[in-house]
Amino acid sequence: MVYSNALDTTEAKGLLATEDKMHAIFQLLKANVFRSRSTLSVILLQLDNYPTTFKKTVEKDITQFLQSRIRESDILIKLSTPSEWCIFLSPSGEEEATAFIQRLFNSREDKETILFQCNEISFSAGIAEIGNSQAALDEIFHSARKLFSKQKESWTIEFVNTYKVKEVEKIRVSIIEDDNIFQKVLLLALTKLPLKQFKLDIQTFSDGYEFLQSDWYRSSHAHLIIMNDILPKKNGFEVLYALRKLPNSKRFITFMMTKKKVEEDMLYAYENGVDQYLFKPFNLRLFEAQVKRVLSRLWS
Amino acid sequence: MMYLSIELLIRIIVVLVVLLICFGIYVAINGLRENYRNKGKTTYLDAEQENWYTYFSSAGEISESLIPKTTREIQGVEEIFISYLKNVSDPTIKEKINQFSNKYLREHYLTLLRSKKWSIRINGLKRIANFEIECLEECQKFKGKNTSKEENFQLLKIFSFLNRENFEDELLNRSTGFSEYEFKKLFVSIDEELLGRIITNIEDLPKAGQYAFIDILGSKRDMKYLDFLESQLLNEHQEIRIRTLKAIHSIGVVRELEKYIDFVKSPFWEERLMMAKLLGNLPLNETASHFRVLLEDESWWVRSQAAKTIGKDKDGLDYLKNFSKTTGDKYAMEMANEILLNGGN
Repeated sequence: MVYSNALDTTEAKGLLATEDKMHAIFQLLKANVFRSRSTLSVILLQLDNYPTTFKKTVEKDITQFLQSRIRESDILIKLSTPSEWCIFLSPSGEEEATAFIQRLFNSREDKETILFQCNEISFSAGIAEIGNSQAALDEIFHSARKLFSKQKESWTIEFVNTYKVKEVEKIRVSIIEDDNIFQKVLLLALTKLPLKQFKLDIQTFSDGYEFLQSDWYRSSHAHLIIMNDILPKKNGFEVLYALRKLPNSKRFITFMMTKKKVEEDMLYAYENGVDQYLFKPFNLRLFEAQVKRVLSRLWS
Repeated sequence: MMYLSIELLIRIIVVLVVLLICFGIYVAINGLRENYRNKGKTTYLDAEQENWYTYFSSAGEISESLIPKTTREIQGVEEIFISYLKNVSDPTIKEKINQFSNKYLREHYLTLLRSKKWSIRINGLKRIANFEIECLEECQKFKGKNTSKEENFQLLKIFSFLNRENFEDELLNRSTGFSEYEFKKLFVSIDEELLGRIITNIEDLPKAGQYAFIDILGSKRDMKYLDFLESQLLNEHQEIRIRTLKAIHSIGVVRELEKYIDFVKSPFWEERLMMAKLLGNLPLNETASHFRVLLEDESWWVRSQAAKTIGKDKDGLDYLKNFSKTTGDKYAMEMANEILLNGGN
């Protein structure tokens, strides 16, 4: 039985694009992956079992159904290959995409979802998380189809992991500390920090003035700044104020080190954009864990 | 008018030039010697800083190269240790510094203690206190009038870990002439158990010591000191009472308002000022009547603080609006209006 216009009452949420625009859209979303540090998920949805008659009508119903289930930020494309749809979930990782597909698959049990109640159809899904710029859409589809051909059951989710690995991102780090020995301790702690996704490019400064005189902070890289509140010429608060006045100042992640537990200073610093406070003396392992945590949160 | 022959003048000039040259040579040689000595320290620091980091951050044995061979290298080790102790909190690192110092630096510091020069002895004592080196017997030899105030200060720091049983006695005997600042520096370096023991003998300390002790308790922000602090509210000395109110305000807990009520009408404006701050730790509906008194206080400082404290309360602006309409005190009204105008700040 075929039920056309099954979704009359359901509003379409996401964008329905045509296949000829697909590669251009993918290029755009892929470029944003690195810039916005948020992953993109590509889903290839294949219909395993469907009635041979009224095929076009069923496909139309499915397209309408899928469009009603995706978010406003997602894009749905009906592929020219029979019974295949591509969905771009942006920004979403593999886990979010899996949850989305499972919700979709679970709706076959839902009596109110007329599409599954009226048609004996089944799907398979392939999910690819895109974390780097090397990803190619045709390769993803090819890998997913290969995996589909090997599977024995419908309603299965396959994962294409080829492009999941994120590109190593260069992070600038500035240590502004007037105690030369501790400056070196921090340098060594950060140099030896095991980070898969980031490469730290570290420079040390003995004073805020020396830092602000350098061109080091004038780059588009994410920039981690670890500085003392009290410094000989320009102190940490002055550096903070100068940085927060710059355009795109969100790229600066600031750690303020202090010996004084003065709440007024802390309030002032937090209100002016300090991200973390470190009270001297502090545990180096704790410092390393905080740096790791802050960097890991750069990617969503 | 005095006349000098040309010959005499030339002789004076020659002597002065010779003296100047000698002085210049002396300064240059000293500079070179100092540079040469510092080079030993700098070379050690450059070569061994990373090895020290590795030793502190891993479970490995100490490398032979880290053990200092010269006085300059010892100074290099001292700089590294002091920087770690000042900036890094890690019991393992502290323990490693302590073990290393006791094994390789102890003899050096004992030699410094035997020096006749005060500056050398004090350096030795400072390092013994910094690195907690075991040398109670040698330190106890510092007795009598010959021990300076600075030496006594360092000795007390040393006794706070080497001679804990007799610390209170040592404190009373050796703290003569200490300034409030020195007492504070000492109390901030000792642990809570010793602080607890000093509480029972606080009356025996000089006034500067008592003031410093109360300030330090406040900075600890620990409720366990509230019993002692509340007992000090009845102290006959005004300065002790003011410091106590300040310390309780730092802790931020007012348990029984009745104990503080008298300070609202204290003859000393400093006590009333502290009350204007302290009452901010309680709900406004409990303190409204007391704030009314403080807002109408004769002292500008008290009125201003009371208005600021009220302004920070979530219902504070409403209270101030109402107060401004009902008070007959024009100065109090002006203060309330000023805070209202600034939106509570």
